[in-house]
Amino acid sequence: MLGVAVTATTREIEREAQKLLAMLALGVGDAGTYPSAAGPRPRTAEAVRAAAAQLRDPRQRLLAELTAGAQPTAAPASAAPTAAAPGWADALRRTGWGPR
Amino acid sequence: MLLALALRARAALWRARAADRRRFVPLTLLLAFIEGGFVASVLSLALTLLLLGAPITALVLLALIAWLVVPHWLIDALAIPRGWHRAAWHLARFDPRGDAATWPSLVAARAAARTGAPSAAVAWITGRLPARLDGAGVVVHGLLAHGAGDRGDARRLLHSLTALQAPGVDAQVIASEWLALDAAERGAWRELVDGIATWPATPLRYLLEAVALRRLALPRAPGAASRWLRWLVAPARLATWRYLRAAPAAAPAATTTATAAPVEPASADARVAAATALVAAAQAPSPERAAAAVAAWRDVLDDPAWLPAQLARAAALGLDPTAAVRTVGAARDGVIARLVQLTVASRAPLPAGDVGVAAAVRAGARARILDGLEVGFDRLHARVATDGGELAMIDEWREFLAVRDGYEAAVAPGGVELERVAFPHADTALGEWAVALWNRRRQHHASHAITSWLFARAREVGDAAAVEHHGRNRALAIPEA
Repeated sequence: MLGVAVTATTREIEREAQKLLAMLALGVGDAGTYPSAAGPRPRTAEAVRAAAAQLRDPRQRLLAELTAGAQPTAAPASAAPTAAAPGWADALRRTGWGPR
Repeated sequence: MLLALALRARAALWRARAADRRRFVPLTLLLAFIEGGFVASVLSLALTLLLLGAPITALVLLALIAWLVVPHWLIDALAIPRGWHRAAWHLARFDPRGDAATWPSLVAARAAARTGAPSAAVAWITGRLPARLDGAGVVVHGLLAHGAGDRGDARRLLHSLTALQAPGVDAQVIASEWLALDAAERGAWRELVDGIATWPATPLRYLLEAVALRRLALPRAPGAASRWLRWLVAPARLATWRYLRAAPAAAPAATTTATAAPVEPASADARVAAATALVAAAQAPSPERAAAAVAAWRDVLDDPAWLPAQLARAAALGLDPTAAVRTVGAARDGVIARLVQLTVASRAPLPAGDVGVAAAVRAGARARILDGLEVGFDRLHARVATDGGELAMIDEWREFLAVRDGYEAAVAPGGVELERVAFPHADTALGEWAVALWNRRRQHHASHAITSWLFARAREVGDAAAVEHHGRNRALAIPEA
């Protein structure tokens, strides 16, 4: 969310938060989104303030550090479209079973 | 006399054909020869009558013979395609392919399914079923469910025939063909081949088995000549011909392994790798991803250096020692809770190990699985014990299938060790259910199926008392209707 390293100091976090808030207010740069392990997410001023407040609290900071830094992963293997259908599409209906 | 003998031979040949795949084609050809003889004789007789100037008698004779000797032609060509369930039911009483006690309902259900199983037809057909649920009743409800658009329910019900001690040949034949076509539609060729040992041969199943053996490139796949011979003796030749013409070449056996889950990029930092594995497992739950997340977090949290490092970090952030210990413990517990949730949800095998993360995840997952089963069994127990809690018999059967499948899926990740703890709950709830169905509702087939399942599970977990108890009940003969 804030784009700071896990080891960032409180001062660095505050500076980055203020910078992002200013960019969001002016609508400049690519501050409106941030990369996450689940893909790009929207970044709002409220979320930046909440993240900065969370990282000011040592307890919450420790919890956040533990699961921070997850890298984006490859998309899950989905049923890839195949050139030919693997089964006999509509076989039941065409052979006289089930609804017409 | 000759006609009676031929009719009797035809019925015997039909039964023999379903039971013997090796002689399926010759027996079918023999049946076709007998029926061809019927038709030729009747047509000659009708022609003679026409020439003698008795056209009405010739027509009556034709109609009578068609109704009494080849009603299955009328059923397959007219009653089922047009959805005439009443006509199908009446014709099926003379159909040589089945027993007059069960075949009419099955054929009528197939006809009603063709028109979307309207409620009037459903009421008409189910009103003719015996009060005691049997194999035919289960298949009738399955076909009607398919007609109403619930393919999953139909598949589950038709598959459940294997749980009944004596489902009846007619019900098995119908279920066999439907399940074969359903598997072919889903491309579940392996399921089709596995069903060879379970289901009787029907013309379409026999053809589909050849297709499945070829698709899987198995050595016992029949050659092209045999395959086309099977096509020739199967119904719906035009439809199946199109499929056979469009069929792709046999897939190499290794195809199924080529779609393995993508390997996550290795990370130099174990904690980042663990966080990444957790996100990946949450994004796309699968047993493999859940197991990978557990393994990754085991590397992090079970590292002897992790706790001192976290405590030092907590101190650096300004926490006092007590708060630091509490916060680090809460962080660890939070990760474990997420791993437990992922493991249970994805039905991943419970991790092995007596200490650390693996032990904590296993204990948490076990507790959650057992809690879930206990809640379900308690609910069932309460319903069975309550007067007025009885469901329609087909819904009781559906509930048994759901409970059975849910139980087997839940205990599978933990193996026999977990099932030994879970089984007594299942034994209590389902045992009482089986007794109530047998004694109170006279539903002997369903009760026997539940008892047989409990017997099998008791043997699996080595519960001697339950094996003896259910073995005794299982040996009871099902009374005649």
